[in-house]
Amino acid sequence: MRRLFIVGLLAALGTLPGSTLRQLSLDDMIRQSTMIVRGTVQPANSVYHGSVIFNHYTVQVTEIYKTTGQAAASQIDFGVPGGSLNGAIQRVAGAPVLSTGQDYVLFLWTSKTGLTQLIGLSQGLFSVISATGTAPIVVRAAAMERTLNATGQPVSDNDIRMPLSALKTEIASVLSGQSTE
Amino acid sequence: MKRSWIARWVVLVFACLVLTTNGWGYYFYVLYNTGSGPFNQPIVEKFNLNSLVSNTVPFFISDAGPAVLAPGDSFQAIIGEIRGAAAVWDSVSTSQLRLGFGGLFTAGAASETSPGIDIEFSDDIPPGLVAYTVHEVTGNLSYGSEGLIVPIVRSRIYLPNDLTQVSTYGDFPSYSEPFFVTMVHEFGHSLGLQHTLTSSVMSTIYTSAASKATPLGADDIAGVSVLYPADKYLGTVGSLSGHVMHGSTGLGLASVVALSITSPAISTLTNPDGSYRMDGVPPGQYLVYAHPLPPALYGESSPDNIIYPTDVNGNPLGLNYNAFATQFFTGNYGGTRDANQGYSTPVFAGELTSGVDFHVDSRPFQAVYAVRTYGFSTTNVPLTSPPLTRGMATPSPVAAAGGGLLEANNANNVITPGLNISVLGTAATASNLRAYPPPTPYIAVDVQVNVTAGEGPKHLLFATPDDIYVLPAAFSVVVSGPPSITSVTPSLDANGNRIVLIAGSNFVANPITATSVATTILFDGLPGVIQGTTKSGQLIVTPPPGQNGYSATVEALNSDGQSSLFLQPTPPTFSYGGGLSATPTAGALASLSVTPKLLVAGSPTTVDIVGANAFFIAGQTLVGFGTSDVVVNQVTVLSSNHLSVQVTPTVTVATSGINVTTGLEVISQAMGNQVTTANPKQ
Repeated sequence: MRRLFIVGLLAALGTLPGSTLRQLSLDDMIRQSTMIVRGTVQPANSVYHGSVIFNHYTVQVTEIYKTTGQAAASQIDFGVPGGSLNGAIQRVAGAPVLSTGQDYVLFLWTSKTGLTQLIGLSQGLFSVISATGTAPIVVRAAAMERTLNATGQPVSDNDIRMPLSALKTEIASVLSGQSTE
Repeated sequence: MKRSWIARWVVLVFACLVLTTNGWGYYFYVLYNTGSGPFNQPIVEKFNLNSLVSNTVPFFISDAGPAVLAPGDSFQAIIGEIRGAAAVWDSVSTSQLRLGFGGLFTAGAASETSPGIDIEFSDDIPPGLVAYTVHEVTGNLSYGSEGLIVPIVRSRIYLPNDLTQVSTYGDFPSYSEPFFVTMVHEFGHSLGLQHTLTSSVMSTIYTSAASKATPLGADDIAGVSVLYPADKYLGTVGSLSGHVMHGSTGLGLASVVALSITSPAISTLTNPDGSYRMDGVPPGQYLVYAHPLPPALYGESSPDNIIYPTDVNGNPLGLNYNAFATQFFTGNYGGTRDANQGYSTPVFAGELTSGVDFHVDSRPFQAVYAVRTYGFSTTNVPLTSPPLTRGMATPSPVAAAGGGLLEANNANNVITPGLNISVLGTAATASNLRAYPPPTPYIAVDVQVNVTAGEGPKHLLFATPDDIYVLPAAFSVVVSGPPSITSVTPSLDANGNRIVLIAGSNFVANPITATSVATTILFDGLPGVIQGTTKSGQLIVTPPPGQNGYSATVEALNSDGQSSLFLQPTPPTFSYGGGLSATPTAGALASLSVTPKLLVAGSPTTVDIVGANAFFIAGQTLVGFGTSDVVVNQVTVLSSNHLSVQVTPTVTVATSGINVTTGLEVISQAMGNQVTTANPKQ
């Protein structure tokens, strides 16, 4: 009984106290994002929002998996905190650096103020890897460098690495209220 | 451990080298003034003490406050808890940097030229993020008191504007352990500290062992003290140096850790050429080991969310390895994965122990990494790095989650073949390794603490057939349970002063005097003063000043890391007033009359303040003008409602933005009155 209680409580808590980031499950991200799209990114500009510099990127959208409210445009602007502007350099630990022209799946979230960002800093950023003759897969962007040059196997239980088709199915399932997670 | 002839491999180079600028303990925001090496002159980002008055960096809290508070919380309580978190760093005596509360400020109202830290509440914090710190520099180098630095011009800490919708937590009350520890962590970033992997408050969530009662680990103290060393500090601690090599290649951003069986860990990261130097190590004998940074975990943009050092052209200098087998220093070329064969490396005050080198074997990936341990209090409150009581007849279960503990791609929760968990040293034994049923990816062991074990943090070893992972401070040994509070009773002492009688259990005695109490009692994050105990054992506590009608949460913290929140996640409250008329008496609302109305740039000025319904107390009343461009040099309490304040403004400002803080009461003239007009705890 005690053991079952522990399992239940730990599961409910997910991760526990101490720092900035909280791990979102894939289902959480699907539910809490305001938009999920696939596309390639181009750096745009750097802008102050309040006192924080955001590096903005433009997504050239190739697929739309989720929208809320208005229909998604073919180009979407979003910001990542941190950057350089007017001689000031601001750093934010955990803010991702996106690669120009890389194919991504992006879980985006628009705040009350109208600022669109990735969910959970880099949690909402997945790289799409397409190889000739194989179906595209999605991998957490941050894990690419040290995952793909190893043995080809995920190095972390926390990694998300799945066929793009499976991710699309999962998104559709969650949005229709039939999550499998 | 080997303690013999191999000492000759260790070369001791004396004190003068300790004071050179080419090393650090811990890990900072670093740039190198070169693109190709040598990388022995890291330049760090930090506040320039030469630009601060009395080495004090002021911090300010947005007067807007959070839009939505957790049930029972108040803005005044949030201010108190944030001040308490700042006090954690302010109290590190081996650092000369001080933090001073500058009061409330209006975000975006002014562009400030003097350094400071702002705390704001934002609607732009996305799900998956609880808080973050923006660290601003100009890229220009300056000469600080310890050589060339990149000065931090401003740090900003952002918290959610809605404290009922925080990721994972939902409600995020200011009195909670995670709110406080998060604030201490973010303040650490704001001062120039990055993440480490040694279970300190500056570790990421994946390995942090920090608690509200003992938020700072040895690593944190070494970090801030090396960054801002107090006078003669570096002569009281020692240093380690060496290289982490794979063949002839130096490995950059490898983590090197010094720990002993009885003390917490201190760590640093290597330079791009594999060299390292770890300063701030208290004298003693240490096991020293090198381990790779873990892969970037889910939600991290880089391993351990480290912001990589940059070269002279601003290019990041990341890892040049994939992984390698963790290795203990043995004093000779080979190294070992067996902690018991590690060399007990001496560290002497004011001296450098050099030649602590590692020649590691590469691996395609780490076998085990980023482990965090959990336990439960007797009231089933989940605790990380759990306290285990010495002398218990039966072992205590300790759960763990992390990379590599369970077979990858196996949904049945199968423990990684060959995984063995043990305790470093003889303080305890671990047995009965098992996995929890799926889908929860946890394992557990039973830990039996020996009756002779010393108190404090203990370390776990996770061994696989070809690698080992060390989790510093995986659990701690304590001699009694957490403190608890059973009643909080308002009262008055013989002179009519407000006191609080606190009944409970497991309050600890001061180890020096034996007759006084070493437990700390917090009122909304600010400590009360324990005056003694009643015959029935209740603590007699003078609370921090607060206005009548205000209600503060009350918590007890013990120096062994345990708090009453371990048993009572929702703490009891104390109501100021409570039908008793204390001396001095503070009204529920106060206001200020301030002259002059304007502070002119460059003109030292005396500001006269009269407060209606105020109660100013010498040594406890703080004055701020909501900007770091007005330096408050001295506050003189002329009477309980009259202040004289010496200020030096570097810009012209109106005094209407004044804040006067006494204990838990903040009178903010900019808002026309006190920061809260209603207290939801009432």
